[in-house]
Amino acid sequence: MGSDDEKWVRQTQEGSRRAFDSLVLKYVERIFRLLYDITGNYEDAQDLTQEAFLRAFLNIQQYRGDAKFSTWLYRIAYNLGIDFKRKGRRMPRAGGDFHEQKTTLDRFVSISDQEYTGESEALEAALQRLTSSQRLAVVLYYYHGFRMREIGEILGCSEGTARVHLFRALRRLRKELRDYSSKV
Amino acid sequence: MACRMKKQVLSYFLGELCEEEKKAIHNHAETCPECGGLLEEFGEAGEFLAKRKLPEVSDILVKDCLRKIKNTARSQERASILERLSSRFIWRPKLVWRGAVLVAVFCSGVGLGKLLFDPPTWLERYERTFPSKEWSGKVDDSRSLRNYFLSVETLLLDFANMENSALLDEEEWALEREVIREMLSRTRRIKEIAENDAPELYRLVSEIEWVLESVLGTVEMNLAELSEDVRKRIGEQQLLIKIHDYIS
Repeated sequence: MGSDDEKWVRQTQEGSRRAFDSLVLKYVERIFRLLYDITGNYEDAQDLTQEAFLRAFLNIQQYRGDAKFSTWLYRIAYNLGIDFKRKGRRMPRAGGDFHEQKTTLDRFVSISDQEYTGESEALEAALQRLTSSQRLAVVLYYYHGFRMREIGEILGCSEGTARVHLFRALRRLRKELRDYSSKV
Repeated sequence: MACRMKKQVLSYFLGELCEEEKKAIHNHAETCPECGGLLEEFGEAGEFLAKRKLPEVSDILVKDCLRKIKNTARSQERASILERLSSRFIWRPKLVWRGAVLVAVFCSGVGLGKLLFDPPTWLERYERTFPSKEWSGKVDDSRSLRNYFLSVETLLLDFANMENSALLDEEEWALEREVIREMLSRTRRIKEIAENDAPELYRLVSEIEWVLESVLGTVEMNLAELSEDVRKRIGEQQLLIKIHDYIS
């Protein structure tokens, strides 16, 4: 845990809300991006980001410093995002037109196949086609700077499993993006 | 057959190896097509990922997060204050007793203050002593005061006109005395009530008291003398006229 994080967490546990504000300012962008990668939707990611920080604030006394604060916070956000996704996917089964009730992520993927032509859009589409564990292993490593052990902690699996997710994700991404490049 | 070094290739790619291990994998990848291919795949995937445009976070989201935390912290603070207060004051028997004593002292103080600075009127005091069933607080509506005067008038007239009545025996005289005493007692209590702030009533009731005392003193006389005595006293005082004036 960074020394600033350590200080701010301790101050928050002692009752300083302003110290937690510093943690919010430091991590809000990263947590939002993580949740965007889980949900694939800007608005959902925003709502869940607020919820994640609120939960962290309410449970800050339970944080004992066994893991880095960032790992603990990411774990809260990851669980929220995955829970949201699960609930979202259950909705179509309740009845009605399945196609109309598709999740935002499904729509994003289906649109990307037809309309996204740029390389960055192709990358987004390829990322969304990965399983959520593979996608998160990639984004947590590349964009959030976590080590494989920490990624395992966030995803709730062993370091070895997290490595397998990353290994497969990289191979699949490279294949899809190469296919895209050859088509263009 | 899969190369046993594949796992090490990923570690090499992730930069987890020391210089010596790196050299070993690098040399191996040059001779192993599988591991060499993997390194190439990882490298290409990494190049794609490096080009990714990450979503920007809006200022509104940051503000909303901070506001939500602030509101939650405030409600937690309020809840904690309430909890502390309830644990300190409400559930401690000693403090409950102290609180009850304070409330009692306060109420007594208010009652005493009201008595000192806003004393009840003579009529209120009268109504407390002789309550009417439906009294609105006005003199005219004090049915029991009105009834008192009517009772006095009837009693005096009865005695004034007794001369032609049949002689009363001892038991009947005892009853008459009892009636006069009761009326006298009520008269004296009304006099006390009216003493300070109802001078007109006080004067009238004093006269009634004087007449009733006289009647009680002479009730042992024969009826003719008693009637004469009562008539005389009523006449001297013009008591019946005064009573009528008062209650009308």
